[in-house]
Formats: sequence, C-alpha cells, structure tokens
Amino acid sequence: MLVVVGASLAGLRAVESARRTGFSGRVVLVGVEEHLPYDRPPLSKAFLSTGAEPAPPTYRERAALAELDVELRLGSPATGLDLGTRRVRLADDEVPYDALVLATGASPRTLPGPPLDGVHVLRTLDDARAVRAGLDAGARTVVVGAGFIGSEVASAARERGLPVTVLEAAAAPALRAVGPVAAGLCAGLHARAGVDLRCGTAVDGLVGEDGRVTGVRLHDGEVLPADLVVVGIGCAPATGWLESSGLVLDDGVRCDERLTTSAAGVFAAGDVARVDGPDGPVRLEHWTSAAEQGAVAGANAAAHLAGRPLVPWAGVPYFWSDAYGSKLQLVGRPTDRAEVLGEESGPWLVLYRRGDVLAGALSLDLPGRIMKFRALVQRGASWDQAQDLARSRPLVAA
Amino acid sequence: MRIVLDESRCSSLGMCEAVAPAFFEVGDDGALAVLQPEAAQEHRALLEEAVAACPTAALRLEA
Repeated sequence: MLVVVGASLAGLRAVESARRTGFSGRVVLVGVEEHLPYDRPPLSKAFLSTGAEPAPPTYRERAALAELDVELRLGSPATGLDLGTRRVRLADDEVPYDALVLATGASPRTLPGPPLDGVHVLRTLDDARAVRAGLDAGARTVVVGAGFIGSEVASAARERGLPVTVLEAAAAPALRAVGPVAAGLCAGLHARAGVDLRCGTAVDGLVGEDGRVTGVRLHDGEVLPADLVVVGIGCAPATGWLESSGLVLDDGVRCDERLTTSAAGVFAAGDVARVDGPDGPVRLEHWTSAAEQGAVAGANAAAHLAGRPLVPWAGVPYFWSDAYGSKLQLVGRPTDRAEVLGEESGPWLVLYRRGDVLAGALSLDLPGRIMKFRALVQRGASWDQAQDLARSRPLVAA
Repeated sequence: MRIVLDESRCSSLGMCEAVAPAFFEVGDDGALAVLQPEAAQEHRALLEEAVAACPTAALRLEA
C-alpha cells in the first residue's frame, strides 16, 4: 500500500506517477484541507483579479480523481509518523504503509500577536477568498513582505485603483530570491505601479479594535491605517508532525537525489523536501519542482516496492511571477555576480555567473528568451555562451 | 497524435519548450508556437511529459 501525505501538487503528481509506472496496489492520499487538490499560483493572480470570482483551481474533479483509483482522506491532518510499525497517525485513525511519500508542503509565517480579523496570509483557497473579499470591499491595504506573494497582492490592489503600502524589512524587495542588483530593478516595478514600497521597514505590531485590525505599527511608532493586512513573509516547511518520528529534518525533510529520506521506503517531495544537489541541499518552493519531485517520488515509491532502480530528480529551478502587468521569470539560481541587459523600465535580463558558468537568469517580459537560458543552465553552459546568446538578438518586449 | 493548445490557459511560461524544444517555442511576441501539431507515437512519452509540465494545464494530446 502506498500512502501519500499531502494532497496538493506534489502529492497528486506522486499518485499519478505511481499509477503511470504500474503500481496497482492501494493508494491513499491524505490532506489537511477539505478541498479536492487544487492549484496555488492562481490564488494570488487570477483569483484576486477584478471581475467575478473564478471557480476554485481544482486539478481534477472527483470523476477524474477516481480514474487514479485513490482513496482520499481529505480534511484529515497527519499528526505523527511511526517508522517502526510503518504507520501514519491521523487525528482519529492510523494508516499503514509499505511505501510513503511526504508532501505536506510549507506553512506561511505569521506576525506575532493575537489573531485579528482582516489579517491574512495567502496560501490556501480560503485565504484567497478572504483577501479577495477585502480588496473588493475597497480596503486600505498594507502588505507585509515584498516577495512574490506580496507583489502580486499589491498588484491586485492597484488593479482596483486602491492605495497600497508594501513593507519590506530588507533593503530591497525579493532580495534572497533575485539578489541585490535585480532586487533594485524590482523596486522600480512597484514604484512605477504607484505602490508605496517601504524597504528597510520592519513591522513592530498590529493595532486592532474589537478583534479587527485597524493599523500596522512600524518601528518608529508610525501607525499605517489598514482594513486588510496581507502577510507574505515566507514559509516554513510543514514538518512539525514529524518532529518525534526520528526522520532527519533540517529546514524540511532531508532526502537524497532520489528523494529518499533517512528512512527506507519513505520519500519526500515539494515545498517540504530539502534535497541533496550538486551545490548542496536545497529546498525549493516552486511549482515546477513540486510537480517534478512529486512525479519522481511517486515513481520511486513504486519502484522501491517492485525492486526496480530509483531515478534522481535533476530539475532546474524555475519560477514566475505576474505583477503590474509584467511577467518575471527566473531559471537556475541567483549569485552575487549579476549582469543586467536592457532598460530598467523593461524588458530586461539579468544573468548570474558562478565561476565560468551560467548559474541562472532572471527576465522581465521576455518569455520568448528565458527558456533558452534554462537550457544553458541545465547543461552547465559557459558564461561566454550565455553572453553570446544574450547578445544574439535585441531584447524586445513581448 | 495531435497536440492541442488551449490558448486561453496558456501564459507562455515555457515549460513545454523546456521539456520538448523540438515541439514548442515561445516566440519573441510572447506567444507559444506548437512547432509540430501532429506527432508520431514514438514521441508520446516526451509529449506527455510536456503536457504534465505545463503549470496552467494548457496542453493536451488527442488520439
């Protein structure tokens, strides 16, 4: 019996992959949310856009899920794992496994203090509905964190002509994701969209009345009035339920390139997984890695049970963000050695160098160019080859 | 088999091009071009991978 804990993208891909590679035993998919597995990227994009609220971005309706012959245990948080007896503990039940895939994702960090109405993280469908309702009501919006969730929420506010302040503790937005040079370019995107972006600004606390937020207090004492506060300050891997299991955890579930954890027959995939790689272990929170790792973990779980060889995951990191009418795309990893091509107002391309190779690339409004750089990163192409490719044609916005 | 693109779902993210550059290319105009809409069965596994890689489920294979 194959058990997959975590019913979002990585978990669903694991189930699909196990079936596709010939696993014919029982498959159980456990998830904390009540909803059928659904897609998260639209929750901060199309789902927040003006117009009628879209249908939930469900991956497969019940009939299509039934084709996988999977038993669903939704609305059923896993509470523990017993590696010795090979059982997953749920609130009221235990599920035995022969092979296990852990795909419980990551949980958004929150601000300290008592809960207040009008303050939301943005991870789930329920969060997205609440944020959308706030925006539709014309809320004075403050976004905490100028990462991609924060930028996309701010973009949705500006689409409605609402004023919005984005607070970023670091010196520039998305600093860790894109590096200092590109972060400066991203700051320009916010400014040109009429967003009040305040970097180097930490939140001291929230102000509320009758259980509802009324403002955000900054370190210098200024209080920004707010009806809607969206917190996008990053996620932590959802490993709390595994703390006493004996599995090796270190910023996520540690696993090797074949996604095998410290326990045989137990695999990890997606936002929760910290995977060995050529440049050290990495934990990615990208759609593409969750999908790819889920597929590899499911295939490897089936292979493990069948005594077949396991395969490695070797994906190239890739993410995209849509904000203020522009498309930002990153392939590979940012480094300290960044070169910018193009105009600050866009389109532009940032190339990241590591030694003599291209480590990554970031583009604004160059969807026709960025994937060519992904191919270079994937094959370890040289910096010179990247330069040749970048200069082979003028940078023209799509 | 036939590659079918739902343009209303496509946002030119390019994962299809990453998987199967002989079949898909995002052009300078930002639009995805399906380079070979009819493909031989020998390419099925590759094209199924490209379809699965699309973050917006904009691709499907027919027959």
